[in-house]
This record gives sequence, structure tokens and C-alpha cells, in this order.
Amino acid sequence: MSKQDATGRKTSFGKEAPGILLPPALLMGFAALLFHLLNLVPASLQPAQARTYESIEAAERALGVKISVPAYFPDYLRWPPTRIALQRKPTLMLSLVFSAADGAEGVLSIHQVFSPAGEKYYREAAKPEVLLGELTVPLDGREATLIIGKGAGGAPFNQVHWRKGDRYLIITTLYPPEELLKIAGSMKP
Amino acid sequence: MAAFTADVTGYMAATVFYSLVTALVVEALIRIWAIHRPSTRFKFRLLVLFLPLLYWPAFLLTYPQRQGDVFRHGTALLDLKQWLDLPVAGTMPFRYGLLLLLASTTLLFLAQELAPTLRTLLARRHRQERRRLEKRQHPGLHAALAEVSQKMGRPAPQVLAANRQAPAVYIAGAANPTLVISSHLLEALDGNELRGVLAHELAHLRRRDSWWGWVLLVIRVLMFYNPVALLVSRQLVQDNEQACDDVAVSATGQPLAFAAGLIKAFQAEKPESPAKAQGRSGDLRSRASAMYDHASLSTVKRRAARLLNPPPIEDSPYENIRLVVVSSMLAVLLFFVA
Repeated sequence: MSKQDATGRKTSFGKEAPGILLPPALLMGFAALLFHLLNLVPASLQPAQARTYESIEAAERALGVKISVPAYFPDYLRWPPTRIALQRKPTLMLSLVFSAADGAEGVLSIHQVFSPAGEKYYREAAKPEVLLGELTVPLDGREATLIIGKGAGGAPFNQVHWRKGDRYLIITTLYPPEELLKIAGSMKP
Repeated sequence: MAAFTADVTGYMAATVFYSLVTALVVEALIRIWAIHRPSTRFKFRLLVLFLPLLYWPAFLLTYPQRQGDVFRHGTALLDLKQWLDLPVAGTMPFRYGLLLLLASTTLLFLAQELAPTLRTLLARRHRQERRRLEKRQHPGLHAALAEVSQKMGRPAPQVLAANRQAPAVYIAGAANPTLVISSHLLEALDGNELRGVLAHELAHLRRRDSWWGWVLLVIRVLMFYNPVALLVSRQLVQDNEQACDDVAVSATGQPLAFAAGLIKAFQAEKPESPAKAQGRSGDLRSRASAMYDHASLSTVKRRAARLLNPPPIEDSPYENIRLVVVSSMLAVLLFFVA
């Protein structure tokens, strides 16, 4: 492909291509770097408070993705979650906290971390006080880590965590590991 | 209601930011690529108006999750919502600052663009202000028009006379365009100046500027709040005028006469009283009017100076490929600004 410029010189596209592609590419690269730096400012100034939502649907609208919920939901748990909270710092994470049907609070919590870097933080932050065992179990065609231990006041602390698609899931409960794995295995989507 | 207001503010913030980024990139490339031809600059600057209008809904339709926190927090290069919601001393200065800017731009758009446009449109509806100008009434005008039309290779339009005290010349109508000229202007210009002015108006016809005017008006109405669009649309008008100036000069070969005609026409239309020029005549309205006239006169003088000292018109080749490259790269970049 060749063209004549205004002075009548013949130019080929191959010869002009670097001049056509490089300046906009460099400008875009500079802009991308600037945007990245600009994005760090409010992130560092924002307070680390969680935002709570009235319903799963409202939280889904804010997140822009479907929230994973268990398809297996035993009668001894109360639906909907008593607390739906979204925190941005130190990592973007949604927490669903469930009560028991008899009114006992915080018997099951499901955390969904939407950042590859955030899962490490959460796993270190939510450890049992006493670790009784840690094993790898198959879950939904993947490997998951099951933690059996004791939490505050010697209460049971059973936890399973694994990566599922775009998020890292952590489910913690007072109920036995068998029930925990049934709930975890039924998480949709 | 609060969520709706936040969504609308978010949309406006995003489109203003897209316009700003596009404008900065386009202006930088106009300089890097040394684009001097006004018609080429016009095409590049049009991106500033078109792309934000096009990209925001396109991004939303193709990837709705882009509006959510997961995209904003994890994938986006820049989350504008974070800036809008940033608390400083118990308030959100960026959100309120933006709203103030949008409101000021809206007022400016209504007062300086929409109201005068509507007034002109309504006035043009009253056809009694114009009458057909027959050949025998002004043989000099028809001869000059025939000469210029022949040089430009297009038929001469119908000519109407504007019953105005002030000099005026413009193309009226998009589907069936006519040249409207006032007798005051005919009296003010000599033969060469008149040929230049007529060639300029015929250039508007050749470039289908009446249609473009409607397209730009619709975009401006859609972006009434956008300060970047306001500034760029004014630059577009200037690019358009300069493109027609170039056509007029190449058709007549008389840049000096055309420049003189341009200045005469403007100064006869806006007689400058010393008090008005200095903005000392009391009320705010007359001061604003004086400032506006002064700015318009500067623009006309700049156009005239450009005619007398034309910049090099060697343009970089592959203009359309450049436009596609810039638009595509901006699409990728702006996708990650939510």
C-alpha cells in the first residue's frame, strides 16, 4: 500500500507505520501509568469501613457480579444472612453472616475475596486459636483446604477455603466438617 | 433516588473524563504529527465529542460488570467513583466540585449556545425577513457568484436578501440550501472581497456544513453539561471556518482581499464603541457582551492573519488509518477507566 503525500513524495504504509503507531501507543502508555498512580491516592486516603447491604441483590448490584450462595441450606440455618457487608480495604471482600434458626448468631460465615492478593491476607487473619488439623480435600473438582480447630472460648472452628473462578471462598462454621463440606460443595455460581 | 443521582453523576463524570483524555491525546497528536490542515484537525477533534458518547454505552452493553466494585477495584486502571466519594474534612469536595462545574457549563451552554440557536431558528422561520434577490437587482453579486461557482465546480445556489441593518451572509437550510446576504454587506465589500466571501460560503455548501451543524447541535445538546465538549465544539467551528477560508483562497487566489472582506464584515456588524470595548459601560451584561465581541474580533483577526501567512499544508498521510488507530487505542485505555 503506498500513497503520495502533499509534496508529491511516494510513501509506503510500512515506512509510515512506526510514526503512526508509536506516538499514540506511547501517549496511551503514559496515560495508563498516570491513571494507575491517580488510583492509588483515594485508595490510600479512604477509611477502611465496610458497607452493609439490605439484600443479596443490592450487594450484587454494587459488586457487578453474582454472589455465591449455597444451594444446600439446612433447616437449622436462617435465611437471609443477618449481615451482608462489603469491605474494600485491605482487600475487596464480601461477607455473609448467618444465624441459626434458634437465634444463635454468627454460626456460619461465607467470605468471598475478589482479589488474588487478598486471599493470603484473609487466610492469615482468620485462623483458629487452636489448630487440630489441616487437610486437603476435593471440592467441586478442585483442591480445598479444610481446617479443623477451636475458636474463641473453645467453640468449634471449622473452615474450608478454595478458589472458585474469579474469587476465593472461605466458609467458617461451628457445625461439623461433614456439614461444612456439603454446604461448600453446593456453592452456586 | 440517591442511587439514581449517584449513577447520573457517575455517568457525567465518566463522559467528561473521557472527553478530557481524548482532547489531550488528540491535541498532543495534532502537534506530534504536525497536522495543519483545518479539515483534518476537524476530524480528529470530532473524536472528543463522538467517542465519549459512543464508548460509555458500548462498554456498558458489552460488559455490564464494569460498573461493579469487582471491576473497579480489581481490574480498572482508574476508579473515578473513588475520587468522587473521597471524603475530605467531612465532605466530598470532588463530587461537589464536579457538580458545580457541570452546572456552570450547563448555564453557559443554555445562554451562549442553545438560546441563540433557537432564536436564530425561530427568526429564520419568519421568511418575510428574506426576499429573493433577482439578477437585475444586483448584477454584480450574481456575476461574482457565477464566477466563483464555476471555479469551484458547483452550481450557484439561490440567493435571498436579508432585510437586516447589519451586514450578514450565511447559508440557510440543509436540504435545500440558499445563500442569504444583506444589502449592507453588499455595499461594504468591493468586488474581490465579495468573491472571497462568496467562495467561503460556497465552501460551507461543498463541505455540507449545514448537516454537520445539525449533527454537532444534537451532540452538544446530549453533552450540555460537558465543559470539554463546550470548548472543543468552539474549536471545531473555528476549524470549519478555517477549512472554508482555505477553499475560498484557493478558489479566488486573493487572500488579502478575502481577509479584508472578513474583517470589514465583522467590524461593520459589531461596531466597537470605546466604552463597550473596554467593558466600562456599567452593567454586567454589557461587560460580558464587550468581552464576547472582543474574543470574536480576535478570532476573526487570527483567521485573517492565517490567510496572509498560511501555515504549511503538508499533512501526514494515512489520515483515516490514524483516526482508526487513535480511536481503537482510546477505546482500550478508556475501558479501564470506570
